Amino acid sequence: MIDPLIWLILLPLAWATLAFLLGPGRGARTAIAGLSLQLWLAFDLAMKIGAGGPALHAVGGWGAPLGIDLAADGLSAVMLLLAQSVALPLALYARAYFAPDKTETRYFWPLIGFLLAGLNALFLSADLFNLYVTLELVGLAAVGLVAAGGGAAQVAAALRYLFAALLGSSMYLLGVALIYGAYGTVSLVTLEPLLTADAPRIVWMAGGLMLAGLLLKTALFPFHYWLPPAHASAPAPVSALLSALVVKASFYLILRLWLGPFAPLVGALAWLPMLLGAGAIFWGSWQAIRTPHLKMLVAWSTVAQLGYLFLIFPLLATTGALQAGVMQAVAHGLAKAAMFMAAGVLIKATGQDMVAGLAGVAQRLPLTLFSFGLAGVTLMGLPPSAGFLAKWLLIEAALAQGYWFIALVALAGGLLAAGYVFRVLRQAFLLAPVAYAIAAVPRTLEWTAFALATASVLLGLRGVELMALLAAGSAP
Amino acid sequence: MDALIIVALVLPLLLALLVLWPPSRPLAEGLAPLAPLPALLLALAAKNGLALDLPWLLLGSRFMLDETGRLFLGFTAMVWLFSGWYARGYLADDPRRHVFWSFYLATAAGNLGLCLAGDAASFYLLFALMTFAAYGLVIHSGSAEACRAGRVYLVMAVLGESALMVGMLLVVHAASSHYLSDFAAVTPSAAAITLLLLGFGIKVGIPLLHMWLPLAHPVAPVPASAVLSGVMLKAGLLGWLRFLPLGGAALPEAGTLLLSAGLLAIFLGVAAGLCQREPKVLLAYSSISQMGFMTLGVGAGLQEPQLWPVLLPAVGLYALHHALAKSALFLGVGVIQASQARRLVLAGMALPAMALSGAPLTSGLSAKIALKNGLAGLPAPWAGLLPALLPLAALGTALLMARLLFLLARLPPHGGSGLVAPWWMLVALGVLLPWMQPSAAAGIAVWANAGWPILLAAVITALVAHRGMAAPALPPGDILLGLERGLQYLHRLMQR
Amino acid sequence: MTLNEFLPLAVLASSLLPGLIIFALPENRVGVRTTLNLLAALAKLALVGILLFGVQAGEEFGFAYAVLPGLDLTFKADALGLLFITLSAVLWLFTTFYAIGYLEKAPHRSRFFGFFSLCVTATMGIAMAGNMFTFFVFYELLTLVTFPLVVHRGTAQAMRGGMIYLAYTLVGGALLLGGIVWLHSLLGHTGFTHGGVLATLDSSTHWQLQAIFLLLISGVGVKAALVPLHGWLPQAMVAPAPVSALLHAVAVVKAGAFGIVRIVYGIYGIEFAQSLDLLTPLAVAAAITIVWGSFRALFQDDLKKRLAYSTISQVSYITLGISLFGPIGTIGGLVHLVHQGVMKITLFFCAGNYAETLGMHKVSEMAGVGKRMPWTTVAFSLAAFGMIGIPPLAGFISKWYLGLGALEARMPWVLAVLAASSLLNAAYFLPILYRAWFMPQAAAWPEEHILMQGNRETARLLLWPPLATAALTLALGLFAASSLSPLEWVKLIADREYLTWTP
Repeated sequence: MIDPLIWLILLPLAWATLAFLLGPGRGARTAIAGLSLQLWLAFDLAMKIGAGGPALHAVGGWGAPLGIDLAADGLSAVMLLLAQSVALPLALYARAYFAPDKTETRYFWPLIGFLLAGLNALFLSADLFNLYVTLELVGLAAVGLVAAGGGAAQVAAALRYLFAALLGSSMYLLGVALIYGAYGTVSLVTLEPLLTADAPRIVWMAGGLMLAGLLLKTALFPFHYWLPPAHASAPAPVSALLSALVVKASFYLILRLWLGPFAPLVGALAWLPMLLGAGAIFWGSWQAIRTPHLKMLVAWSTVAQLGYLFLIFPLLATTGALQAGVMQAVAHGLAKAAMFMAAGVLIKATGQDMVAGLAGVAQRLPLTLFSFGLAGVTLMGLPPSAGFLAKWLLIEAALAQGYWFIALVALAGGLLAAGYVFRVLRQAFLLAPVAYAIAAVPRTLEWTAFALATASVLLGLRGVELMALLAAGSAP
Repeated sequence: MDALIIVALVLPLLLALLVLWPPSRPLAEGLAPLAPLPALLLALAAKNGLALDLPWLLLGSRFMLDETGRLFLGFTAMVWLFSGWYARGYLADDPRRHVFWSFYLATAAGNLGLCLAGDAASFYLLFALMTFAAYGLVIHSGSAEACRAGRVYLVMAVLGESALMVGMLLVVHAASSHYLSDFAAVTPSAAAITLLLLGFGIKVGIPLLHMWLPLAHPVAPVPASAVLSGVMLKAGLLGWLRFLPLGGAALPEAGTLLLSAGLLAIFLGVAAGLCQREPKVLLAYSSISQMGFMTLGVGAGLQEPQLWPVLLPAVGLYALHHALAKSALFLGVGVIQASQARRLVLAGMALPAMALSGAPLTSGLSAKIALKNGLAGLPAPWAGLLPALLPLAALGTALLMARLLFLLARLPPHGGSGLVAPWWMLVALGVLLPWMQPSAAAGIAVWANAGWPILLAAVITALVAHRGMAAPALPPGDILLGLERGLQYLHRLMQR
Repeated sequence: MTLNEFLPLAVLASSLLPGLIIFALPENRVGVRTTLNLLAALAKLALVGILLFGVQAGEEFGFAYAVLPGLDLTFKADALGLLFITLSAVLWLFTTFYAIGYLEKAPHRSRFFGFFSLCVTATMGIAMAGNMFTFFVFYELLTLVTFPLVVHRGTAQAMRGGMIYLAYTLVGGALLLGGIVWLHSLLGHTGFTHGGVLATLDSSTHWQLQAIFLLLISGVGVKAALVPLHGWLPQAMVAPAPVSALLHAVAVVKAGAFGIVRIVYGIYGIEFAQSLDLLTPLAVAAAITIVWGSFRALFQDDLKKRLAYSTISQVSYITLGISLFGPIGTIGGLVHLVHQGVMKITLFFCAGNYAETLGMHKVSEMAGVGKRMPWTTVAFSLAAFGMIGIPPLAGFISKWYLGLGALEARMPWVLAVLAASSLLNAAYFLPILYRAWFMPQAAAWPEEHILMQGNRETARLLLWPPLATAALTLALGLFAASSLSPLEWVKLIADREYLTWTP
């Protein structure tokens, strides 16, 4: 019997190394095989946790204070499942997307492997330092992916990204160091009883630094400046991965710490992320409505959608709020990946990336446009989609606690999302003479995008299992 | 008999449709004049109290035949029958006669059916069918005049229908039933009474609501004018009889209103009619005036319910008399234009004209005396007013008729064809009518009383004709012109 | 899964699956697409027939399914739902025929018919929704799937109309969602029940219930085109005629009106709504809409725009009937749901025929068209007379019950509204009929696409649907009292909604 916990980390590392050695062609096949296996492992883990509660794995048999503990509860299982389900179609997409002989493909598969290893490890880590390591791994792999294209704009964006990532993780690391200084441990389980509301000032400072660092990495407004250029300039599969998963990693971390060891400290602080989240929704949507570039629009939409994740913080007293946050993370993960993939197809087919240049694509690329639309439905939070369930849960949690303005923000955000989604659809439905030829695109590109978009919508018809999994284990 | 009711209702409608379908057109056109025959049979042969419930129709329909309904059905069917007969010849050369027939038959279906209607919804349906189908008769000639008349007719009709709808709803709500037989027992609200008076009043042509009438009746083809003026006005009267609580509660305000309206109609109709140059317009005004008499009867019934048993037969008789006389006169206008024997026709025309004036031995005298007897029970001021005014009204009518004959005599021949037989038969029926039932209208004193206005009118007419005096000209529609001008002004104001 | 659970799903699937298959069909597979469309429409009709018999016999059809813990998608084919379902299924069949004829040789037919089927699916979902949550799911779905239909032509004007449509409906949807979630947080569920579910709540929540009512009604009021939320409707008439027909008669506008019915009867309960003083404001809003819509219609020269304003006015009859407290008003409102649908679809079919056959879009161009297209004009005239409320057409029956209902509810001022509306209806419909029938043709037809073929004035598939619905308009009025009429069905519903009512 293999333990999914450890293999979810080892497997991507293994195929990343293999892919580096074998080159892009066979490397891609290895990666896809590995990812399929990972998806199965994630499912297996989810079933186990759903049935038997949180799982624990001591690496090499060494227990907590000395060795490395891997722990998985419902929240981790959901995130793991999300990561693998997005990554597999993305890999299929990427294989068809990249011309096999380009330089960018050379590093793509190994970097993706490291990125996934980092992500999976992050979702499974049980102490602050390990979390730092995995966070750094994810960040560096992501920067590498952005830079892999090698163009001047891409390198510039990558550098900006690198700076933000390093600054964020350094702040986090500083915080971890301060905590270690204060309590002599970084294990989440051990820390939990030690941290109380009357903790020394140094601990408050540590918490503040960690939060700030993570917010920077999550690109929450106003720390979002690095995200749109980075996500927009990367190749479509990379953008999809970054928007769908990477930013969720730091969000996951904030949530984990917020609900775990730092819970006694955060009481009054809860309004800060909420207000920033609201700011993100309005600013991000506004920019998405204004920008002339298709991928920039999708990237700004990520900024806006991340805002929703932070609206839940003042509401965490009810279980509905956590459900809302996780549902939103999953919905956005699936939908945004689909949307970037669809945008990639549109750009590849029309040979340009302006929204205005999309006139008439509804007739030429109906499936891709349909995928874009479905993903848009999730982002707008319209039924029947996972995004709608997230919005429903959020509004209900907000109203149950009397915070009706949070509900208002969520509703207004949905309308603003409609503003930018329909900007694209409107253009696509226009009956304009197509001035430029539409290039043929591989069917795989269209169908993988469609699969993810459909998943984001269909999840809205069946959220029960996911919510049951989430409830299966509290923090370890 | 139930089957006969259905045939009477459906046959005209069926023919109205068949006449539009080219393959069946010749047959339908041939049968068209006979369409009112089942209704006439029903009126003559059926027992009173006949009722047919069709619970699946409309809101649950009932068709019935009572004394009032039988009378109205009888004269309505008769006039439609003879007019239809006449129309066959009149329209022989009209290329669009199938269109005429279609509207004519649909109008007939409504007009005959509403005499049979036993519930509010059916009555309203058939009334509306009659009203809207008659629009096609009014504008049949397609001239600018006809179109204008049609527009006015339609506006008034729609206003009337709306008022009726609301009025009926109020009555039905008050009675908690939509069967006409349940209405007599309730006293509807003032609003309901007002709306019903106005709604049916438009059809009857009470003053201020009459302006469509002198426009619409003359522009229609002659047979259509005959039914419009002869029987369709009576549909409004029947509406009053059916929906107002006559013989039930006393409604002094409404009674006063209607009595005044009736008096006004009598005199204004005469006055305006005298100023006309066109015989058909004059006849239309005469209809307004004559309907005033029946309005008086209904008004008196509202005021003094105990008089109603006397008034109802009087009003019915008056309606019958006027229907026959007026349709004979209208048809006569067509006949005289087409006829070679103008003198003979003119002599024939004198008979219904005399009848309208209430000359001795005519139906008019019987009707007027019956009405006068009924009105005699009214309290002051009517008790004093009416005996003084009614002889004057008779004088007016006689003058109007004299002017009609004068105008007819000078009418240029028009050519065209007109069947003489149906006209003669209508005339004859009008003449025979007083001999059909025992009447109080006999005796020298009575005749003298009735005769002097006619003689006086003859003298005045002779004098006026001798001196060559001309009446001032009044455009048909009288007050409508002011109204139209006002509306045009408003329209311009809004466009500015 | 029992048959009683399966049937409602089958009703949904009978248009959903064909819709999805049609999307996948290549554009040139006309025969397959047509067959599929018609088979689906007929299959749905058959299913609806079974449901009708079942519900009359007292069977209960329903199906529930958890989306989230404590949140169910519930389908329930009750008497009220079936009223709407039957209307939609019947009119869908006619509209499918019509659309096949209308779009002959037009581009993007697969897309059109795909979304068309989805649109009907959404309508079915709305009709069968067993709670507000399910209602909302399908309500928003309807917005999404009608958008591609509204902008089908792809012109800049169509886009403008489509965007305005979206702006209104999405904002409406947001309001509705806010109201529903609020309700859910108060009540723990949002299920529809006879007589409503709120009367048991503590009286301290009453101000909240009033606020929720406002939110819910403004939300569905957008689709029901209540003034001042009606601005999208005249713009959305840029859609092709079958879409306008469907939008105005069955799908969008009706969904809004039906939502009001569900909210008042299923959630609040008519009697409780009355005790919260919610009905009179609703009646006033409906009355204003009725008069304003008719008034604006007077000034439209574009035929479809005139019809659009007429829809605004006529749909509010339904709202008006619902807000009249008493079974008779209820009957009037609900039966108008059916009657307005049948009459308005006829009018839009005819408008489409004029445009498609002769290129005629404006009222001012219609002189003499009665001679060129007599059958279409007959159908148009019947429907127009029905709208005015002239017996024996369907509109008369609605008006009769509304009027009596107003008296029963002691709101006689409503009669004045009805009369004014009838007059205005006459004022904007009769001139059209006059032009069409009695005026000679003034100029050549703007653009004659379809020439006379023997005695046939236009394509067969364009002619039969309006004639059929016009005949239905007549039959619905003439045989209103028969046991098979919608009126009888509606009486059954009204009986069940009033629990303690005494006149």
